[in-house]
Amino acid sequence: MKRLPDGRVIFETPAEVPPVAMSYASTAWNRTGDWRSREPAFRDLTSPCAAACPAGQDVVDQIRLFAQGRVREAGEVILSANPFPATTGRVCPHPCDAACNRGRMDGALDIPGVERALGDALLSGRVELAVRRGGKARVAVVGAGPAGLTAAHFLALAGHRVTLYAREDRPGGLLRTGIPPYRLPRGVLDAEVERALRPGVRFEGGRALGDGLDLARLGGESDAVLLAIGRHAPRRLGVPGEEAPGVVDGLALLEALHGGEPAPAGDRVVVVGGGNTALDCARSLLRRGRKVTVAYRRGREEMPAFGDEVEEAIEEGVAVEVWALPVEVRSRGGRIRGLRLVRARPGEKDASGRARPEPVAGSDFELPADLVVVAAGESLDAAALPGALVRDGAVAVPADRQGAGGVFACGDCAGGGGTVAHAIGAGRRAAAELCAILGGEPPAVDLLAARGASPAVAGFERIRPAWFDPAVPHPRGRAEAAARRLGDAEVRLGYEAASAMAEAGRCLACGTCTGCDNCYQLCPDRAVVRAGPGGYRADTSRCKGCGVCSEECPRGAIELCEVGA
Amino acid sequence: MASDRLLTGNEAVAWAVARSGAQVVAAYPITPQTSIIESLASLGQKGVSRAEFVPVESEHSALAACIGAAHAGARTFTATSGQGLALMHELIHWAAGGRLPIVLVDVNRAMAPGWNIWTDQNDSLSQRDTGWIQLYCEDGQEVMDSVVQAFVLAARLSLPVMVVLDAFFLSHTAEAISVPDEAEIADLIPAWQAPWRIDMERPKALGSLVPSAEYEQMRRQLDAAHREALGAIEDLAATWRGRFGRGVGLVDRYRCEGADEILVASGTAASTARAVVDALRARGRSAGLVKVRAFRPFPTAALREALLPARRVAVLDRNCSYGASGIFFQEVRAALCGLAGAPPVHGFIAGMGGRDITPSTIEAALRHARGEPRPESTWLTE
Repeated sequence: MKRLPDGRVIFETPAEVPPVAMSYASTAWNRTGDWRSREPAFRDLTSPCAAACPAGQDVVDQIRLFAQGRVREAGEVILSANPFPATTGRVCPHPCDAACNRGRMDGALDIPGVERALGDALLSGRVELAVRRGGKARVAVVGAGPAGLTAAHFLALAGHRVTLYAREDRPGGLLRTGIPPYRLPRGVLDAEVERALRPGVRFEGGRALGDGLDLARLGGESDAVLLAIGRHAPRRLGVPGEEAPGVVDGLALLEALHGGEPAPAGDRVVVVGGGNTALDCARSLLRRGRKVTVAYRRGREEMPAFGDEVEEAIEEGVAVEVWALPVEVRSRGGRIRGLRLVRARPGEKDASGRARPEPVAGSDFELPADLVVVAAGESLDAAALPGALVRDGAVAVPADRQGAGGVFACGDCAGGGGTVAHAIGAGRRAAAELCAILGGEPPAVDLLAARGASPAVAGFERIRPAWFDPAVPHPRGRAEAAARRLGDAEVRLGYEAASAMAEAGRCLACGTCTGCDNCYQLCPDRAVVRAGPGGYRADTSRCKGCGVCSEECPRGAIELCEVGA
Repeated sequence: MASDRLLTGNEAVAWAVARSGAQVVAAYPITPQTSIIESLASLGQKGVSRAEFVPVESEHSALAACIGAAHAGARTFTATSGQGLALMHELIHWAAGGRLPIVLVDVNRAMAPGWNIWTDQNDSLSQRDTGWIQLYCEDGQEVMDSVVQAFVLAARLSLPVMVVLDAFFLSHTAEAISVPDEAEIADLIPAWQAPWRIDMERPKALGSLVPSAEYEQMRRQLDAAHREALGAIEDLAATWRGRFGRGVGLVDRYRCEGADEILVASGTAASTARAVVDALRARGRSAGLVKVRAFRPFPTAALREALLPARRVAVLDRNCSYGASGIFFQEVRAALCGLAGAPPVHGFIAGMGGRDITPSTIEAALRHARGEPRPESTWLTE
């Protein structure tokens, strides 16, 4: 038996061969890594929730830190994408929740509940991002809704001198004028708006375009103008009688109610529309003692309002008439008497992919009404905008952006996705684009890319459910429907801090390495080695490319790749 | 002191495993084996067995668990039947190639399809060439003694041992069986200390790639260990006779003195053959029986010595190598092949799928054996 310098043992006679295959010394000389054609990439993937988030939040990272009780760090992660988590935790429809991989196991994580608890904790803990400076430009932001506020906030964080103009007296835009307090308590809204302005945003209220605010002059005073004016022009019904005094616009109604004005007269109300504005009008009037019916031209499933809103409205006692098209507002003696409608049936699909409602001849019926609220959608109010800036009903900014005299646009007015989260994402991207032109350290556009994650999504097929202990979602209820009708108390209840963290602890962290050591422990060649805090790498001199690490990663954070790929 | 107990064959297995001090049992239930592990569980609850039971999801995993435990030096046991043994096949090779002292009881069960839970030997004989010792049992006492001896042989020779018993005829019928005390056998079973036992102080790689010449050398050693086993089985039988006054080694020769016609049988059919031999002797015919107990290692020398004086040999097989003949028949004929004055060997197949082998079946075999020998076995169907 001969020992070679590299540690190998060589048998010199057959008699030395042992009865079984075994080593007589360390096999460290055996560089099994030479055999591999594939190797693991220890690179985080994008979680389905983050991929679905219109605001571009790094959902996994913020939830993981929160579950560990690291509220400040979780706050820094979420605030770097979204300055309004306590707000979105309440009003966002949370497409992240529908995408949650845990939904295919024992129930999706209650991401809204966790986000809301984290948002509230950041307010009470006074967590905010530090100003980074560097920017020196003068920027005018027009419109103080979620898009404008977000853009102004991140531009100010980058050091720019930002003035935020709004038609309304107070900042918040649709968050304040449109969303009722039973969905978004005003204390929460005020605190988040105040924090968003704190990096040095100067707010000037009561300045609407064309009414105290001139776009050309603003351009002359600023290095850039960002339009975030939303969509406020009401769509009309286009039926006879809609000029009657008892026919009101939904958004205007909500703005008046939220400004403290009394509701217009009329005990029996018909709200026309199926979006969130329609449902908000219906529920707000219900809370003022009215009898309310929502009439929508398509079916319940096609309603653009969030599912929860429709469900809660029905719970509270709002009647819903679906497949009903308005035909005529009937008035007598200067007073509305009712709304005539005709039944509709699903026809051919329109451009949105939904069935076009086709009137059924002879099926007219009338809903008695003293007040008709029209909430059939909104469009861009283009009256105060130069024609060159408007195309297809949205603010159209030329591709080079500078061409329109430094005018930029974001949010709903630029054709955004319609939710608060979409507006926040658009505002942050606009701030980043402006920083690229004007200087200053921009906010991260893609938080996952910023921490090195791949854009590939860790879908359910990458998750290994057997590695996770079963845990059903922590319940979080609603206030009693009867009590809700009596006032503006919040409908959806929040988590206690402990339950919020426990619920956050159910997060699978899809695609994100948590340092669980599964790969480290299960590698048959001890080729997975620890690298940095909580991370791993492959020792390619030993890794045979078997893929056990990748296959057994509970959260799909290890991809097996061709060598050299 | 040994105690007499009324036990089924399967219960005898469980007692033998417990008395042998097995430390790890991993098994998956399958009729007709299941009552072995049920009895072991019961003995564990009573404190008779101290073995750790590893629940597994298949027979393949059962043997895999045993291989791991055996490598770590644990005294290891598993039991199975029919399809379960077939599922273990890959690891049956691994256990022998790894030279691991695992004891396995196979309760012979006919292979499906057709679905059949009764006895024949095709399941265990399908594992003939894997390197395991195979001991076939005739009665409950032999089951008891063979299982204990299997632990002795396994540890002494670093070979896995398969103890084989007939479904139901043996596994599920009760006899009075003498159960040895632990103290009466403990000294016979050595602690296994082969160099390839896992030693936390001396890490090593096991089962790795070896070049052809070394591989061949390892297989020669496996074959050589079986030659050594021939002597070890006989030595152990002698020890048993000295200590307990019973037992046979590789083969049992019954009334073969001056016998013209000798039956060769294995398993419970050997008991029936004894009765036939007695009846023929009573009628003045010079018949005898050779029971094959050890099939691997194959007792060539013992069979030559026992069979050469006969005028004809009839081999009874409860198995068939389809397209060839009964398997014991092939091997017995091969053992005698080329020897001057060797008697003609006749092969007979009976009792497949648990069909009864009655005295008249065996007498029919002897009648056929008076004719010319045929190259293949004769099926003794009514």
